[in-house]
Amino acid sequence: MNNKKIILVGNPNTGKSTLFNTLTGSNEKVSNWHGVTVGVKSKKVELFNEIFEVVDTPGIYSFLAYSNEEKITLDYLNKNKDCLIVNVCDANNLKRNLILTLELLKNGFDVILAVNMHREIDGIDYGLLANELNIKVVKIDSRKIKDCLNLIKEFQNIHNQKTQKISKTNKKQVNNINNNEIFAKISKNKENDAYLKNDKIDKIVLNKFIFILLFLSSIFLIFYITFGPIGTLISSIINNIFNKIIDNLRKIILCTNISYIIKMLIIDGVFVAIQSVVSFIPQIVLLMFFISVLEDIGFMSRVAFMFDGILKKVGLSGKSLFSLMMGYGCTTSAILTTRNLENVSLRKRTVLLLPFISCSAKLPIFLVISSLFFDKYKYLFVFGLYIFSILISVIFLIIYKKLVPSQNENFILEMPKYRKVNFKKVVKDSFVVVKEFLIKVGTLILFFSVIVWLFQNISTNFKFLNGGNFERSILYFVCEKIKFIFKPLGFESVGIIVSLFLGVIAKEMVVVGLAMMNGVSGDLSLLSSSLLDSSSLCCFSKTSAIVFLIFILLYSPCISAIFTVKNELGKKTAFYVFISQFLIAYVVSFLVYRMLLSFDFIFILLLFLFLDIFIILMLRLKKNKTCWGNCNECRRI
Amino acid sequence: MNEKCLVDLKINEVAKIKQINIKDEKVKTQLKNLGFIIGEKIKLLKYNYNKEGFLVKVMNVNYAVDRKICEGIIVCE
Repeated sequence: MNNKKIILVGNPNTGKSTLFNTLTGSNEKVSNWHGVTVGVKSKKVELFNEIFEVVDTPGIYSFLAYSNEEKITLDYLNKNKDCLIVNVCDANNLKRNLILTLELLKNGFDVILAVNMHREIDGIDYGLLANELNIKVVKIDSRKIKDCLNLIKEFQNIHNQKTQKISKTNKKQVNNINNNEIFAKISKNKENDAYLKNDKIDKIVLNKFIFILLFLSSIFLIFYITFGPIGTLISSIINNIFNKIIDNLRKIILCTNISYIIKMLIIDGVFVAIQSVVSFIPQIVLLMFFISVLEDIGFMSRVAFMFDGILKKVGLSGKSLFSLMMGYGCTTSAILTTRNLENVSLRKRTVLLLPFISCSAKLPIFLVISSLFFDKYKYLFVFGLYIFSILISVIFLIIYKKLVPSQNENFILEMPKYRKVNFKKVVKDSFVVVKEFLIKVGTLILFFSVIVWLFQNISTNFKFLNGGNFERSILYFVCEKIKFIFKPLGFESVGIIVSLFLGVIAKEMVVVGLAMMNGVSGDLSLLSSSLLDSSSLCCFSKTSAIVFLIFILLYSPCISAIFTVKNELGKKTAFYVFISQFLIAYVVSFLVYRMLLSFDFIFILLLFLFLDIFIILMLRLKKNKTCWGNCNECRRI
Repeated sequence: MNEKCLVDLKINEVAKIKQINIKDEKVKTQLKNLGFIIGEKIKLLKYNYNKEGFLVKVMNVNYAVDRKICEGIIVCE
């Protein structure tokens, strides 16, 4: 027997990863949502003057593996048949967990049973359970180091005994019994239902009206805190601290003897890029914090359950809904939240949909441009833009579903019990995500921002412009050359193309770019009047303003979102997102421009309304037939 | 014995699983692993908006199962 490996095996969501983290001091992702551990993880740790290799495996229900993760665990077990297995069980679901325990014993494994969360349920005779199975049963709380060390002590004791005889006895004993019989013997309460209290809460929470209220309230609260006054306050505090550091560094750099261009590159290029990356951090931390809290208490599973049917009509799942909602705040952060979706195909579809959802950075652009021609109705106009983006995204999903058929995603989700939030774990998880974002995405944003700064400040004959004539810059030259691509959309001025280009770096740069092009500062009234002046570098007509807004609504997300997609789903998907969003924005903007030239704006609005109603009706009619009770004729999957 | 589909159960009604008419072996295995075994008691707790998902209790554990699968589970009183 290999006496240094502690292999943690058990059903999903029993606390294996929590136990692993407690024993090893790691920060592996843990969630009140099964399917989180997707590969075998191991770490060596010294306990009681001995080196142990603790191994965490993906959850399995039995030896009949149906998912890739389960197969990984079974393969690992088969390669380590001589190891003592720590079978982690959830005391609340002991009846089901015992299926795996019996299978492990029947297959000749030596097992020590670690019953987790035992304090949450009474009336189980663990002594009798140990006698029935003839194995050691240890009660633990996987979050408490004392309990985990006690488990290791028992593990060591068993290793010190001769185990061959015990294994053979177990196999004979367990072949003739099943989990129902054992559970009936060890459970003192006839109706030992750990979910009874939980069911009472669900009766209220899952009421159709109360649930929608709770859901909308939680979304509103998350938005209000993350993107509203509190989030803005936290952002401004962090930005102020950071700006003070940058100011001091700026003074130091200006005093050095390095070349002026390098100084400006560092101050205006690098520092500004770092500032833009840092500005994301408060949003990401707050968003991930709230998502983790909702996940931890078990609310996310309920959201997935309640909305699954509605979202399935467009090829998504209830599990995608939170990520989609978060997309209205920040696309980058929303992409990160899709990590909760264990199905890769569903995750990809959710991520592909997120760029259609208008993030908060686009709102200033919508308000500034719409105020030029629709000042009285600008909020209604902006609302219409949001509805339009939902319409386009639904059409996109329907077409995508037909072109790229998804795997048959049958929705079976174990509904976790409501739990108290482990704030320490939730805060830790949020900062782990931020660290990853800074290392993997932040560095790329920095690199590209520096490149754009160079294009903005170096002339076509490679001289530093020093804030001078922007029309001589490489960026302006490139945008002038590609202007013909945007002519079919009615974009006549180069300034508009430059602002679209800057919008790829960050959507906030669009308004900044328009102001810079027209030589006005941040004053909105000055900017608005300059945008209507035909002699400005950037000017709009009513038609071009509407088309511009639609293009902004739909085109490629910012580079931080693109690089986050690359990090999460690979280069191919990131490239696809970038190109497809541009093409969709182009085609839709072109169609809208042509319609605006031929028809009245009111007619187009009515057409758009009609299209909305048509799609809603189409989705409503796409219902499954109800079962008529004649079970011989029920549809088979 | 009165046989019917799982989707035809009333809220809080308990029945026994009689048959699982599901062609997809992967889904069938998954259900078996979760305790959806013939003879096991099943209770319908709730259904979601537009009745496309059902919250059921099996082996003292609650599961959200979609309608397509539920239509393949035949129960009896």
